[in-house]
Amino acid sequence: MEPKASDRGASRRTEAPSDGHLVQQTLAGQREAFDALTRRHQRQAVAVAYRLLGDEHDALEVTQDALLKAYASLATLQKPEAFAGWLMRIVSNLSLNFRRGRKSRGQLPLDDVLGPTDAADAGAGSDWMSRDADPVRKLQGKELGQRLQEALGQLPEKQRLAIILFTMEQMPQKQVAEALQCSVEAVKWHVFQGRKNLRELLQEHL
Amino acid sequence: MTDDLEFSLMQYLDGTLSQEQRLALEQQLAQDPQLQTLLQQHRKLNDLLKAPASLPEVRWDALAQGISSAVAAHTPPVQSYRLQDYALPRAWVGAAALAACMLIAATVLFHLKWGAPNHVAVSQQPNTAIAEASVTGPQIETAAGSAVAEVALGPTPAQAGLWHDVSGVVIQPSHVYIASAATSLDRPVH
Repeated sequence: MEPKASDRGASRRTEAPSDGHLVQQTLAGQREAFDALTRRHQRQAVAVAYRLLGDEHDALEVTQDALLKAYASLATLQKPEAFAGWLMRIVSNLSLNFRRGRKSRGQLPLDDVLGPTDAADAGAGSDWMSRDADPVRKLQGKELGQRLQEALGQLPEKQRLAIILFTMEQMPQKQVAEALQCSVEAVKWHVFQGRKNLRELLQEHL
Repeated sequence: MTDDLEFSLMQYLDGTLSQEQRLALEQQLAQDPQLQTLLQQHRKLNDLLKAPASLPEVRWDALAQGISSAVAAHTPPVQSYRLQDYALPRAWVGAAALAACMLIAATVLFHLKWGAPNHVAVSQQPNTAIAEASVTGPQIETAAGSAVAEVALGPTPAQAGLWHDVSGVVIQPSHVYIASAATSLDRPVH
């Protein structure tokens, strides 16, 4: 049965606004629209920064800086719908710069945001990461996780970013291309070369 | 092991091979233990990379709130309008430039080949003589008195072709003017 027009309208009203729409709203002065963008993309930003930096405090600081920078230069974003890839580019660049020179602490009291997730037991203490909850460490052991991080660090930048964004974060290839400022075909090539190199680097563990 | 084969293995793991390619690779895998080992290594690597692991546990609401506060203290972004936003696509600009060049070239060629008919008239003052020539004569001798009769010697135009070889015919003078009305017409003329 065809849905009634009023039902379709109600369905549209309940749909989450697109990134592009939120960007336009932010530029029109609605700051809460940027809060929505933050909530939508902060997890991925932290994940990418953490995989690049290997340190949770640094990852959170870079995420904060990246979102502030994104807010300040939002008007320069030519394709509002490409916000996700653009933000990941900022996160990647800041992370790589961060590796080259450690910075002082940022504005946020980071210890306040590190800890069990909101859904988890809030009384677990101030230790931000539950080591036992890490599936990789459960399945492969701490050493393998460490080796993977080291092997990733040995890859050329483009390959490392392509692996992190496409394989690990499972972002669409088009967004990865936006983040890396290259073609989709180049993304496939970087992913292939990265996996090949990782297999060789981790051969004794596979 | 070629890159192509290893690339196919990765596509196989990602599920992006066509059915035909997948069947062909599975046949090859069944016969090649080395390829099977390579597939297992890539499968383990994939599992390791895709494991939702290694991420810090974060109070996401607190992080979002902190960023929101930092953003609030920041100057709001201003929508800027760049010329590029309104510019034609590059292909259109290129086509327009090419068309303009061709139009200019055609105009120049046309001008060089055929010229502009009104160009001289426009650029010069009208009725201005460039050169002047004065032609005088021949003048017909006029008789002293009034002519009474005119006698022509020689062939008629119809008989001209028969006369040019006849010798002894005096055709000069060709004209005789009789000046005086009193002169008798029966007097012989020479």
